[in-house]
Amino acid sequence: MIAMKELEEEIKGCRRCDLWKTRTNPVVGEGTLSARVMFIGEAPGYYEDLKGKPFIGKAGKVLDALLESVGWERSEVYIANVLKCRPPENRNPTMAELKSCTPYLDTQLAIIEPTVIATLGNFSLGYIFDNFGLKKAKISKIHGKVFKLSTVAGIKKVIPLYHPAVATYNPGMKETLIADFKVLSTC
Amino acid sequence: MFEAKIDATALRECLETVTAIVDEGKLRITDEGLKLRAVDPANVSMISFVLQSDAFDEFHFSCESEEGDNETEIGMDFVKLLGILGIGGKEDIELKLDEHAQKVYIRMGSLAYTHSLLDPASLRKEPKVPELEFPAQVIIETEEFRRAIRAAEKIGDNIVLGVDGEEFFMEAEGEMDKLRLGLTKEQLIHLTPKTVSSLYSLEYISAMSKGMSHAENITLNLGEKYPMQLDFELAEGKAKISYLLAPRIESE
Repeated sequence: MIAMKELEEEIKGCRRCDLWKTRTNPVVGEGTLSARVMFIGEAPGYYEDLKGKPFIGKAGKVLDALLESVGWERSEVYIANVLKCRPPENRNPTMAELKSCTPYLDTQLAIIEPTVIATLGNFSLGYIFDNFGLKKAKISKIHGKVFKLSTVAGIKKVIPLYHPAVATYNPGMKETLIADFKVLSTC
Repeated sequence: MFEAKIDATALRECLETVTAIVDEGKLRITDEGLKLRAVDPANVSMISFVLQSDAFDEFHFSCESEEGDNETEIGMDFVKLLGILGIGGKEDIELKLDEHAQKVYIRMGSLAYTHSLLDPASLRKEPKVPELEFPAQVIIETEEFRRAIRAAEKIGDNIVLGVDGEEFFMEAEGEMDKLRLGLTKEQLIHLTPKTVSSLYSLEYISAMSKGMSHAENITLNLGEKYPMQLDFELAEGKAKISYLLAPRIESE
């Protein structure tokens, strides 16, 4: 608990890249520190930036519905993003921003030690796959597939998922997300 | 304040053990010496490293930290440092830390090198050491172990390490070929009789094998489908190194 509190304070005072200048609040993450499953999204959006909480906009509503579809609540998982601050106009993160910010995510992973890491979207997939030495592939090919990893902290599973926002642009994708969440719930 | 003097070969050999696992990391300087614990980017291997202060010809450390934790943490690019030290000769190496400038001044005979430190905040935090219990222990001459690893590299990508009763074995299997090294208790320095085995990635063991090349003996701590811990010493027993390696599993 202390470690996460320290991390939160560190992130609040972070000046490693310029995003602190345009953000309203950093979004560290939310959920239980004893979570078995950790979701990792890309970066805070407009509403997340305002409230300092992850996934509370339209995509957040989709995520809540997906969690509910497998009988889970937010309180029993942990939700974080690769970037802790909102990039202006929700643009893609730069390489420099990712390099500056990802040690925070690494620390969250070390504190929570989830058994299952569910990546939400391409940036999260890219970072986690790189980090764990997994061979990258298009999300359309590997979504909903379970990748088992043997690490010094034990066996971990990584499951790439589409970003919930995809269902707000393309409602037909919700069925795919629901099917992938079913797989996730059995991990 | 940190100022020290050490035998060049000892420092180079120690750095080689570190660069076998990580390129960069956070080095802790304390009264007791230099300490490091780090995992590789894929979280498959870990190094725990201690270079005791008595391994140095001179070792002066006082902490300016306000937190009162009596240690200083610096971020280092070990690969770069080793590259430079490799150019130097056999003269003693003098180290002087300038915390405010975030630099280490290094003198090797007539060669002076200023090593810029990395921001520790940009580096991964020190990992926790998993709680592990190893049922089997083997102590083997390093060269014997390394020879088997070199042979296995020519066969496949993975290697099985295990104990079968009173025999320690290493097995590698390729598409066509198979290699097995079997050593009885009498051919080893020590063996705990057990029946355990685990599969490991040769890529990682090969890197570790290079890192341990200057050690006389290594201690292998083994289990059934379990991580392996490799312990060894350098600098006349004043540098203590532990490698931890996760077992290989099949991906779904």
